[in-house]
Amino acid sequence: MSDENHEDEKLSTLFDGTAEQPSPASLTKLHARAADVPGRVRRQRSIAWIVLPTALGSIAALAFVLVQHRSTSFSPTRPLAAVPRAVDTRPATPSTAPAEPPSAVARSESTAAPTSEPAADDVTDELGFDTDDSDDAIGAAAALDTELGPSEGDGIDAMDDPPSDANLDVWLRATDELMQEGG
Amino acid sequence: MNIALGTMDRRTAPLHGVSSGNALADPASVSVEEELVRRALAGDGHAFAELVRPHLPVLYRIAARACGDVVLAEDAVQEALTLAYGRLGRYRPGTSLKAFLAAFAARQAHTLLRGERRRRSREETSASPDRGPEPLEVLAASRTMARVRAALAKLPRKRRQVVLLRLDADLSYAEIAQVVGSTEGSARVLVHLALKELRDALEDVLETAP
Repeated sequence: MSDENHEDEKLSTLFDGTAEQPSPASLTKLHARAADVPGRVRRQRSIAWIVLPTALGSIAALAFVLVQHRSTSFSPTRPLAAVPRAVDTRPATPSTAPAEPPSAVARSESTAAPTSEPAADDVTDELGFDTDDSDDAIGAAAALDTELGPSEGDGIDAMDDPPSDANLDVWLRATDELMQEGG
Repeated sequence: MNIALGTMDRRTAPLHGVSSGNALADPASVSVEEELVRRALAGDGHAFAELVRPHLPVLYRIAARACGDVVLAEDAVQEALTLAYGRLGRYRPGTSLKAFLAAFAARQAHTLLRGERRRRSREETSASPDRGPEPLEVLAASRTMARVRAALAKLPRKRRQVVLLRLDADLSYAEIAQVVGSTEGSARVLVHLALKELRDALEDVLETAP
């Protein structure tokens, strides 16, 4: 134990002998720096109080913008360009709900539209069709649609769209060619 | 270089478990210290400077031990004082202010010693330039200081800390226990192990020492 104490004394002596002692100039400098510490710490804290809320606000604003951007990008109400337009598979029954009044734009279009084409009622009258019969036919088509199911009726419903004149001409020519080949 | 050669008998007593006598037994001193702490916390720089003035040599000694450079040691003391001021609200007047400040100096010394270890490894890989002739005594002291720093750098962090607190800051076991957050008995064992490891590392230096 005494040897160990002796060794500790030697170690202590070694540390004392190799210790750096501050010069008076160093001590004066350290004292002056110590006097500056509270002011510097206070300045750093005040800067932190200014910078930290600003940084947090900027981060919050950025996060808000990103969240908004993501929500508009993946919104379910936004039409997706890559998805084809859904085919209308509803039955062709006339709606029993009262028709909505046409909007101002629609009214102006209807009044501005050329009146060279006769109204549908006029046409049926001229051709001798009974509107009741046509209603029955529509009802039968609806029943057929229901029997076939929505997927099988797609092709039929697609033809319900009013054909353009060009499409009609093409269709007529194709029909004529078919008749000639068959005849 | 201001090396304290020849101060051999000053520090023998504290190594045998006697308190280093830093406690502020005088109630008047306690009240003065309390007043200085209060003013320092209110932002009075002069009060803080007066509070730490008696302990600046010890803080400088710890920092210089760690980095081996005068300018770096001054910077390290300033950083330790800044850290200590940030925690000054936790200091209880009447306890050991020396231990409180030395803890920050030792913590800063850990950082500096780590940098010193990196610097040494760089210098070992590259050819170091010849420093030129130096007086033999100063040269020998410089080498011894470098050996001591190297031995300290190899110690685990906590052991290194208690060596600095014991041998450079001259703290008692009770004060070391306060710094490291343990009982006095644990601090005593920790110091014993740290000194033993350091003695083994510096065996040849101690043999040649007078």
